[in-house]
Amino acid sequence: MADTSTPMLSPPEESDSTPRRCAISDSVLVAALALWLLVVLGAMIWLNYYKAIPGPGGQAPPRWPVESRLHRARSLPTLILFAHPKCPCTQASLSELRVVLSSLRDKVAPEVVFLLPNGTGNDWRRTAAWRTAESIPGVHAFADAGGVETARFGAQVSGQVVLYGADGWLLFQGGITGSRGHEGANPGRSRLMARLTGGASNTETSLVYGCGLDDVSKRR
Amino acid sequence: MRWRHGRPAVDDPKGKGEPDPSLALRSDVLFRAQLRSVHAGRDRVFAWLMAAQWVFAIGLAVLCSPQAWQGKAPSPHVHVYFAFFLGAALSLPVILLAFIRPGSAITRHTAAVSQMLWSALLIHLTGGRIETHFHVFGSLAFLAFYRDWKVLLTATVVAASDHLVRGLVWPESVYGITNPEWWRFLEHAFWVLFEDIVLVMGVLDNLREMRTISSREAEMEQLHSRVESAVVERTRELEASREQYRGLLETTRTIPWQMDPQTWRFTYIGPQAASVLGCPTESWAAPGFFEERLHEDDREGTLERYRQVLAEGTHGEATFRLRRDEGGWVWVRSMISPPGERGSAIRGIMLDVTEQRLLELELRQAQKLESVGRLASGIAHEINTPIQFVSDSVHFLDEAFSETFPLFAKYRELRVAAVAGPVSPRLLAEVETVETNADIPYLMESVPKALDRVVDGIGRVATIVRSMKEFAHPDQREKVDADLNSALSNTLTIARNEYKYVADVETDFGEIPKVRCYLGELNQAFLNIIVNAAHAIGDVAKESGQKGLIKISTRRHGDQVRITIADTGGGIPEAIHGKVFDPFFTTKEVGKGTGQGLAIVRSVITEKHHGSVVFESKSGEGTTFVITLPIDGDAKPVAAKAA
Repeated sequence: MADTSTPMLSPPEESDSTPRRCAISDSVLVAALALWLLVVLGAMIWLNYYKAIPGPGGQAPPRWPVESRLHRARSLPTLILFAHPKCPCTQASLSELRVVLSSLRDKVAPEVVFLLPNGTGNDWRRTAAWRTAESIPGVHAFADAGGVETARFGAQVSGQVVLYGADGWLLFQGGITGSRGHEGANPGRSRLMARLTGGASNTETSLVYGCGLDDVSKRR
Repeated sequence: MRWRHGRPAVDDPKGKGEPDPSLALRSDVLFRAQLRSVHAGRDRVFAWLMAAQWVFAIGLAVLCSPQAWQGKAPSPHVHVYFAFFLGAALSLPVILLAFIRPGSAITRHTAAVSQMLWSALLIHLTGGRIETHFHVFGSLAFLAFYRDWKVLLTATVVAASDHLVRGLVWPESVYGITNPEWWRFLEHAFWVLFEDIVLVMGVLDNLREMRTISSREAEMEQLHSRVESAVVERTRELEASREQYRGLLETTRTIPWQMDPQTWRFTYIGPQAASVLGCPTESWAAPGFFEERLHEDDREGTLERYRQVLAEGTHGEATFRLRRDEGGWVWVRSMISPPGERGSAIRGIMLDVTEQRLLELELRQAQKLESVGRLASGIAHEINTPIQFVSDSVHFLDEAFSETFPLFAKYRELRVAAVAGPVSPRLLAEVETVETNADIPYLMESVPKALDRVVDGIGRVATIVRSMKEFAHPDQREKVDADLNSALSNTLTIARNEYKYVADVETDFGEIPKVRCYLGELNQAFLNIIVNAAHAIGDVAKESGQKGLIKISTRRHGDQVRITIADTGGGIPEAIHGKVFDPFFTTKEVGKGTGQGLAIVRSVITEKHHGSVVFESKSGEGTTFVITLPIDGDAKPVAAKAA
């Protein structure tokens, strides 16, 4: 019997599975990848930073404006969320509203006021945000033609929430998302829920993230 | 085979505590090669995944958040830019590395980092939907396909670092609260680690299985290698044996051959064949070569013999002539074997028997001369008897004429005297005296008888001479149409002295047509059988003192002529029936026979005339030879045999 050990030790034949080395040295590659990592991490940080930039805080009237055409509940706090029908970030605010209402539906009268600037057509009424709002149980969608109510309540950023008590006093104003268009637990939502459940006594505020509601405003 | 922790004990294949380092090393080589193949394959999968995620992210951004708004004024949403540019930044390096560094550690760790960052980007693009967070766990499962736990570690470190840094810098973006506990990131990392544990266990299991497979593969390779070596060794031995066999076969004078019986084309011919006809062996393989080279007289009979072997599946033999390149003929004897179980080719060996044939011819000629020599004294005796009484008669006639000459002189004298005048009485008395002395009546009675005896004697001599001439018919190159009755008569005349003292001959010649044959050789065959018959009867007659009988008859049977020569000799013992046609086989005493007689009969009848010769013999009753010859000289070949 011939000795078979030698051929068995021969390296495997080249195949597609064999690594194909290119001319780039490992050190150059590692340096390039380190640079790449810095770039992408920087981009991720910037994205986080950008999404954490809040819009201009609105200043809602401390008492329910009597001239408002919006319906105010007499026996329950009234929650109004001002929204831009085409703002993608508003989906996050509506999601957070759904979360809030899922546990406190009987403790608040919710309404979503959609801005309909002058000169806009029906396409502003057939948006995903509008459909989402109407799909939330108990929520009434209000078309704010010309942005009268929006301006009346001082809302400048889509996602702005105002909460008035049954007595008409302002209980909460601000956003209920943690960043621009980002769902998830956040301080604004927590404060709103605390106010509704009696966990807080003062008027609560939070930062608002979303598209601008005011044509004049240069800020987002 | 022992197994140890799910890993075969490749280092001890015989189970005798004797490590086999080569097997273990080969197993390791195979394992690494397989692992490298897995890594490269997963790199390609991740390249595709990266591309798919990039396309998905762009689509997602364009569909869900194409624009940001300021009142009525839209502007491109930052998600679109990030989906395109950051997506490219995350995907392209992995795709590139999958092609330039497939299977390398740096590629899969880059994929791990990129994949985890992809999770973060997708979470952003989907607005932080909780469902998108499952991408992290799905990515870890995907990364586990690398079967490298270190890749999972890299991914986990990236995820944990993200949570740690953001938890410190911007806690509400991760935990939804502004002042989480310092260890909160550990809670998130724990669930990732939980999955990691499961995946690492799976990875280690996979690696163990791969090692097991590699070990088995190494063992299979070793086994295969051993088997292959054995096969090579056996093949070498077989080749050597084949060469030895080929050398044995192809260096002898016998020529091995194989032929396709459908086309009569040689499919193999031994190299010795080249020297036989003076043409290369390639020529033998040409279509039609065999038929074209066969002698015209042998062609049909030879091919028929081959067909017969093929049809009957028995071994056969044929002797024929093949034409040489430079002219002339080579006598070849071919031993033919039928096709084996596998294949349809007939095969056999051929032998150049030209010299043997020449020797046979010389032997046959010698036998003919021997026959003639042996018959010479008898023939001389046969000639001597008529010559003797011819001589006596001539002497008588000579004396008769001597005695009549004086009478003729007296008659002339008497005629002259009569012309001159009256004849004297004295002269008449003298004539009378001379006539009386001449004994004219006796002469008138005896001379015609003497002349008849002369004519008879000369006729008998002439018959014998003619018979000899006919018998000793010169060898012919071509067959001629011959009267076999006449040939048999002549042969009987020649052989008369062999049988006349011991046997009578009875002929019964039927109406037979002339037969196309080599007459001289047939005469020889007839003579051999008749002489054998005379000798057989002679042996019996010596004891009984009574003459035997040789009966010869001829008959036509269809397109054949049958010649029967029967004797009342002692017969041929059954034990030697199969040998009587063999060359040099004889039962006669030394000096009386060479053993060639019946061998020549067989050769002449069967080979030269495609006829048959059979005999029937009973011990003590005699022997009957039956010769069958085709009238046209070209019938199917049949063998000589005992009836």
